[in-house]
Amino acid sequence: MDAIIAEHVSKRFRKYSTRQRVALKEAILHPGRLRRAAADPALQLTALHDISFRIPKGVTVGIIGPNGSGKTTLLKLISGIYRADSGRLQVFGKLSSLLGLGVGFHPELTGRENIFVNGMILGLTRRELQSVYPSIVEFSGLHEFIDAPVRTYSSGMHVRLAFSIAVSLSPDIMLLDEVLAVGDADFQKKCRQRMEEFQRAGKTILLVTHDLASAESWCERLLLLHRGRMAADGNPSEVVRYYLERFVNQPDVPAE
Amino acid sequence: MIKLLQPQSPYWLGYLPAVIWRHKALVWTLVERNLKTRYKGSILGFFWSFANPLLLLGIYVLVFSYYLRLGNEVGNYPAFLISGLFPWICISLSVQSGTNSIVEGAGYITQTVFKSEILPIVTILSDVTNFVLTVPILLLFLSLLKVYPSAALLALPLILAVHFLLISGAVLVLATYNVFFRDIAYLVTHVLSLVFFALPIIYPQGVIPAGLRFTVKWNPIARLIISYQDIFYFRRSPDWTSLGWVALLAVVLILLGNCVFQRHKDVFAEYL
Repeated sequence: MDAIIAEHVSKRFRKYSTRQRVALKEAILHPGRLRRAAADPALQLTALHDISFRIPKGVTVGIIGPNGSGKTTLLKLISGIYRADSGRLQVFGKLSSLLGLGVGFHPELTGRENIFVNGMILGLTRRELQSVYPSIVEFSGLHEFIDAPVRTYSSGMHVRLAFSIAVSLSPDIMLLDEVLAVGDADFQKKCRQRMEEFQRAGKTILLVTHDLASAESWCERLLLLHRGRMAADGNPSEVVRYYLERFVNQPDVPAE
Repeated sequence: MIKLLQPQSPYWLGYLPAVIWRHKALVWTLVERNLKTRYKGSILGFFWSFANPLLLLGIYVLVFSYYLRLGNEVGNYPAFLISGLFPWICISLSVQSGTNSIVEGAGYITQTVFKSEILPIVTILSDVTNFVLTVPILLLFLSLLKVYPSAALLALPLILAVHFLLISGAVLVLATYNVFFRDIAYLVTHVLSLVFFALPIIYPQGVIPAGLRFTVKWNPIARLIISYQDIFYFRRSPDWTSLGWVALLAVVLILLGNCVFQRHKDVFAEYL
């Protein structure tokens, strides 16, 4: 059984300068002209080009690659925030992405109120939230601050609260974007334990990271993206070695 | 055209109500959050939502009633003024915040899978709810000015409903184009300040020359304001035919606004 199937997926963005040049008048009087301009390949940036892969259920897959290689765009396509321009993407099962960490948080509201607002934005019902609320607070370790406004939180506490809500969603497929570096050592340990629980429970995890060591130790498979193309797909240690040899140690290829 | 008739199509008239109904708990949570946080951190809090109309009231009474003697045209100028001013401030605020709602809600759209229709609806609902909460204060002031509440107030929910529909229709269009051209928000602010003077709020309808009466007759916002004045100031039921036309226009506007919105919403995430 597959959890995610991508077939020849491509995504293009309009280049910034062309958006600015479009006049309001033009858009109102000639919407067709605007669409044609948008379809002009010279004015477009290909963020992802012909990406195909299958991710079976219960597997943890990492996505690595230099900045701007299309990792986050891929996650946004899978989660349904962006639409692919061509190709087909299928997702089987309830999906949760940690892209929406802390969305809707209001600094003046308390931690408790924000848990409810953010949780509902992420798709939980009020009743579901009431039942997972204790575990969210427990996981965040913010018991004594939960009724204080979030503006009084440190940035670490802020992220811990947001992260705790996101991991309480119990999805079938989890999309993580650079989040393993959240919080202090103790909280990171908790996060790792939660990830292991997810893995044991047979959940599919898709992880975007720059931390090659953790990618190698965590994932059963790695996808390497480079300038929007799939540069490698396979065994973590081999993909990491390939990435380092091919893109990092070469002075002529910009790496981060 | 066929698309409008298919129940599963997002262009269908029933689509928007269905989305709001399905997400009613979320909509209400967000409205509640907006109201709770609106005046948090300010000492006078909720007071500010009627301080503004009252300050304006003071200035307008001084200028128009005392300096320009316009008050002679109306029996109780301050009461007349306040009856139109409170609803107008709500309309003006909700058009402005609604226009900005998608741009300001960028986080929801670029980071979560979110029904973006909810954002303009939430901002308008927040402003309308805030207005409803100030109605008792409006009635208190009217009573102090010796205009007492009457049975005509029973029409308030209906006028509010038409008000909500009309503004929603307009805001769906404005909010959509504001994503692509941020100038819209600035334009809206200026147009609104002009519209204010085209409405019979600071002056009664009677002073408008016959040749210019159409500016009120064909202006749905003017019809709304007049309906509010009817129930608050004149203590009579609103002109139902007139209100009915505004309601019809509002439904057409929502249908149109929803089409514009649905046509563009897939690319919002790329422009925010």
